[in-house]
Amino acid sequence: MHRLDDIPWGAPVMVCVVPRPADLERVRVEGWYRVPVAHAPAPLIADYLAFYQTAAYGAERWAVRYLAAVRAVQIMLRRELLPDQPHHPRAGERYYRFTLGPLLQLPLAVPSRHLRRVTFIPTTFGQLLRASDVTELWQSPLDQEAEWGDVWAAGVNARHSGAQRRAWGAMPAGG
Amino acid sequence: MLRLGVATRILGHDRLRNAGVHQAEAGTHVSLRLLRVCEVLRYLQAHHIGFYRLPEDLLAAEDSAGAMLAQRAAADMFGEAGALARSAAIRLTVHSALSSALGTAAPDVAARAGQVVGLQAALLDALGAGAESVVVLHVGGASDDRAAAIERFAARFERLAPAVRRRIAVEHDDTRFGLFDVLRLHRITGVPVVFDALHLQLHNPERIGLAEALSLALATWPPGVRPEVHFSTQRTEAHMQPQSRGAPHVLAPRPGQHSDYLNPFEFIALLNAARGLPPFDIMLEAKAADLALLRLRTDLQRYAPELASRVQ
Repeated sequence: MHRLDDIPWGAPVMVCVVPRPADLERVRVEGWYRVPVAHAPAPLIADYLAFYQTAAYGAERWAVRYLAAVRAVQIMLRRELLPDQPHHPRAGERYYRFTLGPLLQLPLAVPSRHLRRVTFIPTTFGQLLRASDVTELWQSPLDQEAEWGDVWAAGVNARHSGAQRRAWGAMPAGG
Repeated sequence: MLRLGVATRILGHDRLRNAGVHQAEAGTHVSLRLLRVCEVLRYLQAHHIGFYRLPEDLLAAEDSAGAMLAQRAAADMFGEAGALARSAAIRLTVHSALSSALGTAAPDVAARAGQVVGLQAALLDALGAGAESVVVLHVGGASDDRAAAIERFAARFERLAPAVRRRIAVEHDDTRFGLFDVLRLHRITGVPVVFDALHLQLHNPERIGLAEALSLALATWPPGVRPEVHFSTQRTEAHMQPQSRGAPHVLAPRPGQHSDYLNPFEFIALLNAARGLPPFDIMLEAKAADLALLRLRTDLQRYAPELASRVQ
C-alpha cells in the first residue's frame, strides 16, 4: 500500500530508531532496514516500520515522521549488509534485513517531549495517527478491541456496552 | 509424557493474535509469514508447549516449493523456523481444509487437493521436519457411497509422490466417514489414522468404546512415530447473530462446534482410556487456542493431579 488512507488502523507497526541521517537515507533510497536477531523485540510482528529520529536530525529530531511497509525479510550477517565495515565488532552477527516499500510521511509528526532513549515500540497505525507524544504509542485499547471482535463466539452471556443494551431494549436482564 | 498442542492461532499475546491466519490470502511475502511462525514458536517454547499446527494456508497456491527456495529470503526463514522448532522440540503438523478431499467424485477437486497436499508436504520438508510432522486429511466425498470414496482416495494416494505419501495421515469425521472407514483406508494404503475424540462421540455407528477406538487408531502409526490425536469438546452456548435493527438473534450451537475452553472431565476420560497405550500427542481444538491449553493444565492439576504429570 502506497497511501496512508489504505492502511488499516489496526495494522501492526513497529517503531524503530534511525540514529543517523544516513540510516534514514538508506531506508529511503535502498529500501531496507536492519534489526539484530539477538536483540530483536519479541514478538517481531509488524506490517509497517516507523522511524524515530534522534538528536542527530537537527530540526526534525526526537520525533516519528515516516513509516514504510514491510515487504520481505531475510537473515544476513552484518558484514554482508555493510561490506564497507568488515572489521566492525558485530560484523559476524546475524541481522534481520527488512525489505521496505516507499517512505510515507505522517500527516503530523509524533514528537517525544521527554523520552529520549527510544528502542522499539510496538504500536498500531491508528495509534500512530492519534498519538500526540511518543509515550502514547504503546498499543491502544481501541485497536485491541477491534482485533478481538471476531475471536470469541460471544454467547447470550456476553458483556455488551450500556449503549448496546439500551439500543436493544428488549434484552432480558442479565442478557 | 503426552504433549498438548495448539492449532494455528495464538490468543495469549496481543501482537500474535492476528498472526498466522490466512496470511497467504493477504498477499504477505512467504518470508514474513515464516517470521510470524518463528515468533509463535518462541511464544510456545516460553510456555513449554511442544506441538503446533501450522496454518493450512501458510503457503499460497502460487508458492511452489522450488520458487520459494530460490528466493534467499524464503530459504533463510525456512531454515530459521525449522531450526527453532527443532531446538525447542516442537512438533509441527498441518491440517488440510475439508476441500482437500482425495476421495471426492469430482476429478478437478481431487487434482486441486493433490496439489495442495503436495505443497503442504513440501512446506514440512523445507522446514526440515521429521517423520512425525504429518499433513492430516479427511476422506472427502459423499457419504452415500463411502466404499467408492475410499477406493478413490486409495487410488489417488498411490499416485502421489513418495515424499508426499509419507507425510499423510487421515482423520475420521463427524458425519460421514467413521473410524472404521478410515481404518479400512489404512489397511489398503498404510496411511496412519488420527483419532478425534469429539468425532467419535458425534459419529460412531459401530458403537465402539473410547479406549478400544483410541487403541485401534494408535496401532496404525509406524514404529518410532508418535501418533497424533485430536481433542475438543462440544460447544453448548448460543451464538448472538447481530441484526441491522433490534436485538441480535440467538442461535443454538451446531453439532460438532468447538467450545471456547475445554471440558476437563472429558479430557480426564481420554487420559484414563489411554492407560497402558503408547504415548501420543494431543492437538487441542478449542476457540480459545493457547488460552484453553493453559487452562486445561490448571484444571488437570485441580481435578486429576495424578494425571497432570503425564501431560506437558
